[in-house]
Amino acid sequence: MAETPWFLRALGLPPYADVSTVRRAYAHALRTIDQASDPEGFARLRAAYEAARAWSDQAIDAPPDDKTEASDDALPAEDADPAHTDAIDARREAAQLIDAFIAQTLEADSGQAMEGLHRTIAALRTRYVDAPGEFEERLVDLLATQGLPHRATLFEAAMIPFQWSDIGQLDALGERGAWVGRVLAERELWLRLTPSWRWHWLDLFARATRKLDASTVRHWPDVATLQAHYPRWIALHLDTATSQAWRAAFEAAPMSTQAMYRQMAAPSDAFRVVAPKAVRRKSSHPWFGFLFFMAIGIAYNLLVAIQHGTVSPSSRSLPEDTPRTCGELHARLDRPDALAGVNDDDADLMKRRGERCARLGYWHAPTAEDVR
Amino acid sequence: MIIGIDLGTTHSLAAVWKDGGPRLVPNALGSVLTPSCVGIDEDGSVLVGEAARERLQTHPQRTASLFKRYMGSARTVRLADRDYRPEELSALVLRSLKDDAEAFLGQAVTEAVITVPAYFSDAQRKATRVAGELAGLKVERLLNEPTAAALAYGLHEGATETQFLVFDLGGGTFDVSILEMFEGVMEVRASAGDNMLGGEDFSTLIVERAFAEGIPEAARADAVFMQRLTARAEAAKRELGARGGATFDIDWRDTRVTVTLDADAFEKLSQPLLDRLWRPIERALRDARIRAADLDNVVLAGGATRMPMIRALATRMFGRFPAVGLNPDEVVALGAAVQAGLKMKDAALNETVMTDVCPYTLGTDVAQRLESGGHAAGFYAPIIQRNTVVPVSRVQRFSPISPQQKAIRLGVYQGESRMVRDNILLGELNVPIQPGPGHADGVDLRFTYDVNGLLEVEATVVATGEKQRLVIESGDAHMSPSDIEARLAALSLLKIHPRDTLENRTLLARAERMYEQLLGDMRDHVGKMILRFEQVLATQDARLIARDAELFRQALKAIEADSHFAPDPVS
Repeated sequence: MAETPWFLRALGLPPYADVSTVRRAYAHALRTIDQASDPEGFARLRAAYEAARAWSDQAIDAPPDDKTEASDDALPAEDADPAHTDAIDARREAAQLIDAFIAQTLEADSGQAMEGLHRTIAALRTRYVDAPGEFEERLVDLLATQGLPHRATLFEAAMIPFQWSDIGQLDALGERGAWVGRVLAERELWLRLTPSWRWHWLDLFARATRKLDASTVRHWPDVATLQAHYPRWIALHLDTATSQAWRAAFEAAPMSTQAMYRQMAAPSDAFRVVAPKAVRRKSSHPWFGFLFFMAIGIAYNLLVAIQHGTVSPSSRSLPEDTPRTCGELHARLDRPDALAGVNDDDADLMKRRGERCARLGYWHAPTAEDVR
Repeated sequence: MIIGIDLGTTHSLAAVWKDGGPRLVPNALGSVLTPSCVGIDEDGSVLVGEAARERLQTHPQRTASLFKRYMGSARTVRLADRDYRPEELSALVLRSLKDDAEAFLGQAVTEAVITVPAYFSDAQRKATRVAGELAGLKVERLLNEPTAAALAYGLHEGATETQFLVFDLGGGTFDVSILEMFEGVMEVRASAGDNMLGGEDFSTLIVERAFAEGIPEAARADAVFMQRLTARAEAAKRELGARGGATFDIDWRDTRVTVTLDADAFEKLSQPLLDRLWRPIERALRDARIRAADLDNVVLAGGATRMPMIRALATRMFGRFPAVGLNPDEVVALGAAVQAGLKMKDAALNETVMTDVCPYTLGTDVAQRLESGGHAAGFYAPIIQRNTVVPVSRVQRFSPISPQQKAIRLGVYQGESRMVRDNILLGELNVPIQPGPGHADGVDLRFTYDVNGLLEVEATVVATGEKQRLVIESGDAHMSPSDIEARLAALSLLKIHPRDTLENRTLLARAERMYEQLLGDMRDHVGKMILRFEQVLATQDARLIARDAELFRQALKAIEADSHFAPDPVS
């Protein structure tokens, strides 16, 4: 017979327990612990509870997720609660907005696609609170499965509104977040390749997507190398179908021609991420002090599979803010046209400065004193 | 006796657990809301609350408000002849609430539960605790505001099993928390927020509107004018809520403008602020791994949620009407009193227990090994993930990059970004280690986050067992114990305006403010009333003063109702 798992024993339960029994046992034990004075006792109880919850949730086969959708569709006719009816309408509208975005993007150029994305997010934010999240999940699925054109542009455009730089956000997105994280890591490395090579390759992808001819086919060895290094990032730029056709066209060439093309491929330096020059150098630049410490036992699984690296430490570091500059920034951001005509990088910088100002407590409308 | 205090940006309240329920404490004026304003009277005594709020317009150089926004920063405010730290100003408000509670209870009060925005940083929380100490209160617990609201709400509802969201838009901060209640356990699942978004920002929009209508920019330097304009904007905001439209005239020197707003125009103006409400909510729902449709209820807290457009937005966002029943101004203070009751192990509460979370991620920075053999620094290694249940203690091992290394520098960061450059540096540790191949084990770094939201960091050298603790000093905003003692001594020298005459002092302050705003005959009339009331006060005849104060109050009320003044927010 199976032994009682440790977490059930810790909660004083027999080897079988459902969710409500686990919760009741936890609630009971929690009352006997003073969280403030006995943090270790609490930590032990909490660990047991979380393990037991995970275990009991798993033990139940019922899929609880479908419940809500089903009940919404089967709305009883006599339910005249206007807020609820509004909610159903809002949900339908949100779904329509997302469908419309997809339909338009299939026909659009990349500028229109990006604009459409921003417009759709803004419109969803006036509907109900789950809508942007539902769009985010749908968008990630479409990007990962190549269901849309202009994927790289859309990915870049979605990073800021969906806060993909935020680790917790990606964690909460589950599998999809893990995919976004890997793309982000590849992108960071990609951005550190020599720009002229990047442009060359991007142009190549665009040409190959339009038409595969001798001038593009001969570059297949470069593409194969790039795909090995940045599989997901390249997949955003290049359809699987195109890439397969490309490869087939290349392999159809005589072996001697293939060998020649291989020799003409970009030098290996072109694929190498430029390591920050400052590594191991004691520099006056404060960022390089960080090199002193330590990489570690926690896996940065985002970066594990590929070569490791980081963006150059000097890029876009935040300028120092004083209470006064924070006040000015606040006043500026609060104006409705604050971001009109500002490019995305600068807008992002302003946003990050703003957030930092707020965390530092330097956040207030400028007082008369500041203005003077 | 432990009291619960909601130390707000614009208003503060005290509440106590009494006779099996939370009770709000009235102040000397009989109101439960005490404006978070501090002023220094001409005789050098300290005025707190309504009297100070009235004097914001007449004596801006001697009066301070909104100082909660600077908590945890080094910013000071100069009042009369001395600089005050935000902790000290908060301490004066706390002390006034403490006096009110002592008068209400008839017994000494030495301990308090003080609420803070969930998204308050370590520095802001420490500053709040120091404020309590300076007010002579032992801070038993710093309680997150939305959690407090949830405690009050949960108790009020008495529901056994429910999931709900607290939408807390106060004067200066916005917090969202998602809670689950079962078997008497109130569990915070996730919190998110914006420390720079509150009701005050909506008033600022109306102030800016006046400038857009033609008030010259130079007027911003005129403190008296700015306070007057802010008060008008405040009143207009409230009128917009009550009547759907507001108009007021304001003049500065030769310029006179009329600001007219209807609900639609105000909503349009507020759009950038309203847009900022979405993200924390989306994030909290995400982190709690639930959909808005799964929530059983939405609870509004904070005075700014009285605004009809905020209610409409919340209704639209969640597809349901928010819960009504508890006053959003009072719900946080009531919750603080519930927590005080829990602390005192009150029998009526022995079934209730609450757990909270750490709202942001805490971690250190690490270097990544590059394929080419070097290292790239500046990556964030989270140690405590956001929305982990507290108290929590986590440890992780970090090893040196090179065997020759003599020290490991460990930065302590708060934030969510993958790169530490985008997160906030809270402090750093420099741990000396023995170089050599035998010592590659490095350092165990332990982060401990307690129920009050305060962080402790300890590094242990694995090879030797040597420990090093980090005292987090957030720049120059940090106060050492000796600083606190010095400030405490300085505060104790301040003369606090006696509580029993505060009501009359407030009446006078209000009359003086009106005197400055009125013109012509009305002004003379108020001037005469002020003079007469001062003479009555000088007689020190309690009966006479009481009678005259009542007449004076009625007269001021009548004048105010007659002309377009900022109505009293409390009434």
